[in-house]
Amino acid sequence: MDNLSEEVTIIIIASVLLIIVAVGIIVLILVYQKKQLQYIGEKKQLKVTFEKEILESKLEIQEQTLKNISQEIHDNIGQVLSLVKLNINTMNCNEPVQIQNKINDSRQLITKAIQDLRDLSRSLNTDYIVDAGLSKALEYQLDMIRKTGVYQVNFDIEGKQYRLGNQQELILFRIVQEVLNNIMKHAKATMIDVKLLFEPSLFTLKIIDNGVGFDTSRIENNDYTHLGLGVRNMHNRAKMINTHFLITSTPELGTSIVLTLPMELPKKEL
Amino acid sequence: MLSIIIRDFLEPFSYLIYAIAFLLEYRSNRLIREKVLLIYYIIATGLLTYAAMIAIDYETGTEGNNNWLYNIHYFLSAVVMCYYFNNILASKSKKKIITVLFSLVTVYFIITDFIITKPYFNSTSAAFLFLSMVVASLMYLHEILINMSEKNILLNFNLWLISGYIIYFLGGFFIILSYSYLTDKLTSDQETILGDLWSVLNVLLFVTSIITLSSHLWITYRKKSQ
Repeated sequence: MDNLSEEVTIIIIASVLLIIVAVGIIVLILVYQKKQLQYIGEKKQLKVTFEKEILESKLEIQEQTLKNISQEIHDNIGQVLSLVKLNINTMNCNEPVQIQNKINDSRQLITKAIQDLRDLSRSLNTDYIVDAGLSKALEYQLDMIRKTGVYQVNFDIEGKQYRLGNQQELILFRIVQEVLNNIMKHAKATMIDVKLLFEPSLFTLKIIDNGVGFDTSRIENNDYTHLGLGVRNMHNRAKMINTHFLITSTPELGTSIVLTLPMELPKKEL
Repeated sequence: MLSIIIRDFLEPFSYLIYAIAFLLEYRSNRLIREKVLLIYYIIATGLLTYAAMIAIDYETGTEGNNNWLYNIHYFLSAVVMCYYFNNILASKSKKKIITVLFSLVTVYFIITDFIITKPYFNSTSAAFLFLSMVVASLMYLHEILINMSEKNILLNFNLWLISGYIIYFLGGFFIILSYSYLTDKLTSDQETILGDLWSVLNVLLFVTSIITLSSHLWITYRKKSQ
């Protein structure tokens, strides 16, 4: 009888344990779902924040673009067309040779104005950047700088090229534009080196100049908040597309900016 | 009196609660699988009520055997549950496992309970069914885990039903497995132990049936209040 009651006790204990296991499994699933819901909520919130930042950045880019257009039209195309107008106004009907010279000058000036307009249109056109890809768009941009004859421009591509996402390419292109703009405005450089490095798990973009540089002692732990708005914006834009932004500079020796973008998904080869 | 009710009538009563839950569920969703389960639970309630009446007669001295009713009930359970799990699972591989598992259970039932008929309740085949139900329930829970979405799973009736199944079939596995062994071992004056163990199983079934019915009512209330 004792042996029997022992066996029955074992059966009951085993059953109770199994019931606890069953309840435990169900509780685990419910807890997991709760955490999953929390995770989905956080992910959604992050997405909303990201989209908001993208929108803000787009607006900022738009603002910058309008400023660029205004400046370009005023400083370049406007000047050229003013010269053409001056040529026409000062034409003397009694001096056919001078008229011919002025017409030739005006023709050249108008051709330059058309070319400038075309360049401006291309460098601002988002579709062109998305269609041609980052490498081609950068090549075109650097060609324009090379044509000024002020800078020695080098452009290198290493590794098997692949396309990044449209958003990423566009933002990277705008960052490079901003960097080039800064070099032309402040760096007093004579040489600009741009390098794209396509590795399977990492994309790297380097922009190096031999300009006057600046003091980077205020930058600690990749914190750009103490620097100007332009650098801060570039840093924030890079952050938005999960790109690491590193700026190093030595006074009188130049500045180097390195953007690194880790690649997680399989890339579309060019 | 209470012990007789728990031992003999709580089981068909629990099945009746399940039948009510499925009747309500079928009225709101009109799914064929729910209709099948509704019919199954009605048949099970009838079979087990009859079995309980035979058990009462047996206790009062009338000759009777209700094992054949339990054999039919478990055989029917294997067939219906195979259909039900095949319907609610999405993964093809899981469906295949379920079909193979329940086919084996059915064949085992046919061989042990209908071809090699024994005078006493053969609990091994029932334990095999219990184990298959646990495996099937775990597969369903696994599918829920891997396909977790924003939807609140507490509003999923199947989750409550399967949770009830896993508690009953896992919790009752050792009781049902040891039933034949204890039947062989016990003397006629110790048979109350068997009745007590069966009562534990019935209480478990009753609790899970209440969980299932309450879950339907709660889900309906939540959906209406949303």
